[in-house]
Amino acid sequence: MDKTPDALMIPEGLKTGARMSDRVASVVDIAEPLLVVDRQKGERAYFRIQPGGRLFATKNVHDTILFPKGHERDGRPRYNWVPQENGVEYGYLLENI
Amino acid sequence: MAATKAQLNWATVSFGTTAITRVTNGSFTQGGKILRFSGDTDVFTTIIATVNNEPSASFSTADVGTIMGIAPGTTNTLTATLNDAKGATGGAVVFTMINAVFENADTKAAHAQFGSVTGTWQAYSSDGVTSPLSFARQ
Repeated sequence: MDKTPDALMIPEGLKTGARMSDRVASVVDIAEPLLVVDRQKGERAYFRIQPGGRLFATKNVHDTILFPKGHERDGRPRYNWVPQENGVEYGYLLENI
Repeated sequence: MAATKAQLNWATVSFGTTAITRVTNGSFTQGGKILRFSGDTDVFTTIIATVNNEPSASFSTADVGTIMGIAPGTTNTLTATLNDAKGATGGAVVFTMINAVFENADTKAAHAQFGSVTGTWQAYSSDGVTSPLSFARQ
């Protein structure tokens, strides 16, 4: 599968730096190129700290890992996750596959 | 100018379309809750598990009217930027809390002092799994 992922699951171990801004920058530096973020258009990579030492990153701050409560597919995965060699997982929205 | 790697002052704090200015203090917390276990002859905890997460936020400001004007239970997105200490590009961190529910406004004012109000928020997850608190580089 060779296309831009819709989401990323980044191991916290790839986060570097002693201060918060360093650590945020280190994650963003991984996420923004992979998600093809256009900062000139105001896009950003937003990441959330998830249990289990994972960082869930997307371009839309409202994205969720599972279908939201009340959705007809409530609780089921929204993404097909494809592991990469560096431990990052690329997520592809199931409705786009 | 290179980023200083130190943060100083909150900026562009907003709750939905409501701008929150004159901010004097602010915090976001991931709200992790853990459960400890010990049994048998243990005298120390042998298992610690994360059982729940309850993210929350709090901002204090001199703008009493704006915060007091938000009704408890109002749900929107709370956004705030923690600036680089010298305003360097790339040094600021943007906090975004979606599904933020305004909890309370607590106003204090003493004689011959500026009044201050502290607003508090709790946030919920849309799917029960994804944290409502995210981070980005400005």
